[in-house]
Amino acid sequence: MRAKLLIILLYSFSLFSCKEKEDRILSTLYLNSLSGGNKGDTLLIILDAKSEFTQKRIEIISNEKYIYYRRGFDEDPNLIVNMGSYPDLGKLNIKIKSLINYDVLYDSLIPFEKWFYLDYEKYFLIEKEDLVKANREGLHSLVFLEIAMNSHGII
Amino acid sequence: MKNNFAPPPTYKKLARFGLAVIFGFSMIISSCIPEPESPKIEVSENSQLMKVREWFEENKNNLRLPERGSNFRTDAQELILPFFEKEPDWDNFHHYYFPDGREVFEINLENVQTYIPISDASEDVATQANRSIQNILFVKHPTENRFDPLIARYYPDEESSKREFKEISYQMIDEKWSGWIDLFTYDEHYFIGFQVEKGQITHTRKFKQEGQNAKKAIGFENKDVRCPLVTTDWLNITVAGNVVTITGLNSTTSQSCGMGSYDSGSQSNGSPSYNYGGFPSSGVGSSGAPSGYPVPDDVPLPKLRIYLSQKVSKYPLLECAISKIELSKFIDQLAIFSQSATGANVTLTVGKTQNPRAGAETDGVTYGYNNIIITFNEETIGKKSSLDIARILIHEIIHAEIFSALGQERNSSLLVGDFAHNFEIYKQRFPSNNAIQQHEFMADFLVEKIAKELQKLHPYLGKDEFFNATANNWHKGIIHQGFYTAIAWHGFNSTSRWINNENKAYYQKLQELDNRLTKNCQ
Repeated sequence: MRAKLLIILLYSFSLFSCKEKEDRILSTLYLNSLSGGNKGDTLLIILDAKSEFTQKRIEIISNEKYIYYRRGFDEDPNLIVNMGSYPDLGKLNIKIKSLINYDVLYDSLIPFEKWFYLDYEKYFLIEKEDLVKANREGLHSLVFLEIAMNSHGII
Repeated sequence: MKNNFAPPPTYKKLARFGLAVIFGFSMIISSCIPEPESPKIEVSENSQLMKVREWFEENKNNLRLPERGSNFRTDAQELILPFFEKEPDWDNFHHYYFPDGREVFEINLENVQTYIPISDASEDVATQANRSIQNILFVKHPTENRFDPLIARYYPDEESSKREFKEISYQMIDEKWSGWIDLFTYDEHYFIGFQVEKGQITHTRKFKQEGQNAKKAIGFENKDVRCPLVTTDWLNITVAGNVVTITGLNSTTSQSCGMGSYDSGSQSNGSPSYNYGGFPSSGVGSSGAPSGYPVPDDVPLPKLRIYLSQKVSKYPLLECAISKIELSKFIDQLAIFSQSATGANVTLTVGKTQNPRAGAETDGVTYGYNNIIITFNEETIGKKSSLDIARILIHEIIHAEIFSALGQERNSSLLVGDFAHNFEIYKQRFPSNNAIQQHEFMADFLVEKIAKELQKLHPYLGKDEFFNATANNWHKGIIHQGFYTAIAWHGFNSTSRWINNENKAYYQKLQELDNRLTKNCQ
């Protein structure tokens, strides 16, 4: 099953390049691989930073880069996912062919409940744009940044 | 397939005998198994009670007024009941704490003599006396090695409110009980009275004290229709076997006020409490109290209790956060957490929330304001940081207090001065949705309050770890107060106060840091 999925993924990554089809690939990636989250797992997030519901802010403090993402939701401003990439957190260099070994979340397709219920030990994020770029350039590996994450529901 | 095997009659008897022996042994063995836990608690409480008793035996003569014959009232027109039975029945006691942390032992008096106000002239006074309860409260002084005794009298309005001793105490009034609770000092100076209707305080009363040998005219303040003067007739009823002796006492005049409209309530540590104005705690009071007589500084309102359901114990971080927010004076004044459901009007639990997107919910409608349910979402509580849990707890307890105050039609609440008037504005502005009413109200009045409590609690909830992870953001090595204000805004992001907040961008930046909060709790 895994081998089959891996073939599909590699095939998808190598063949398709137009935006519409990239989205479909990523959807497939999510739909086939997200296990639901078990504590101790690592989750890879592919974030659409260009989405109107995502805010991104970069801060440079003492030559160190801090990136903040807020995934807001138009239905209730209290429903927010708050992510941050900090210098003291790690990076993960993953070969594309190894992606199948991880849970992957594609944010544009995920309702708030999925974000809200996430319970992974570590979260790593790559922006969708960087993923697509890597695919176009034929790179064999991707760099994911570790993030701290919090989510707020209604109270 | 049918089994036709059956043992011969002799074996049947032997088998029955064997079973009987086994049963008998099991009874003997099981009766020898000690009951875990409960005896220990009893021993512990009893040893504390013994200390009260020893203190009382040592000091009771000093507590009593000299005999004054039948002078039930002084010339100052103050009600002073004569010294009478003050011997506690030490086998019947309640043990609890006032909201400010003072320990209280409430012990039944032997009730040979009863003092009752006549509330219903048509009813047999012996019946009225029979259902009243007289207790003595020993309030442990917070710093000195002494107890301040008070006499509490419970006067049920009718037979349906009659309770056994174990069923009622000053901190445990059930939702069906109606009547008056009067507090007296140990030497029978009147302290304060509360009228209770179906478990809720509706009125207070204080007896008028007037100048020595003077008949004070009713001034303008006494004409306030909210606090009319009420004349009360008192009876002393003594039961000895089948003989009931009834002695009429003089009438007293008191001022009875609806909650919130009275001038007697003071704010002690922000908590409504009642001081005995004419009876200073040292020296000779205006009504002739003995010098040095110990009087409690104040007595709080009987207050509501939050029952921690058994599910809470499955979430150690929630349990720990509760133990920390109990350290907050603000929360301590609002709520008592209890492992017992008896007398509770709020239940805190963990389970499925009606809205799956909720972090927690407070329901003060479904089961009424006397059965408010706070539910943490079981799906998400495991992912919360300890400070987040504390924030949500405070947020939900405020909701509970609003439901309670509205249900009781209270004019006052610790949340804000002139509560009823202020909240009415939100009812009119947002008539169709009580969640919006409450959030708009909270956003306008309580965000800073929540923030300050979170700041005080953070050292117990992973402040050092958070600081180390975010140190670059803080000047002079101090987490800015603005951070706590920012996170206190969570949950209020739909309110007009937030939407129009000129500091919103600043707070949002600070909110971004809350993903570094940890699950530490110590």
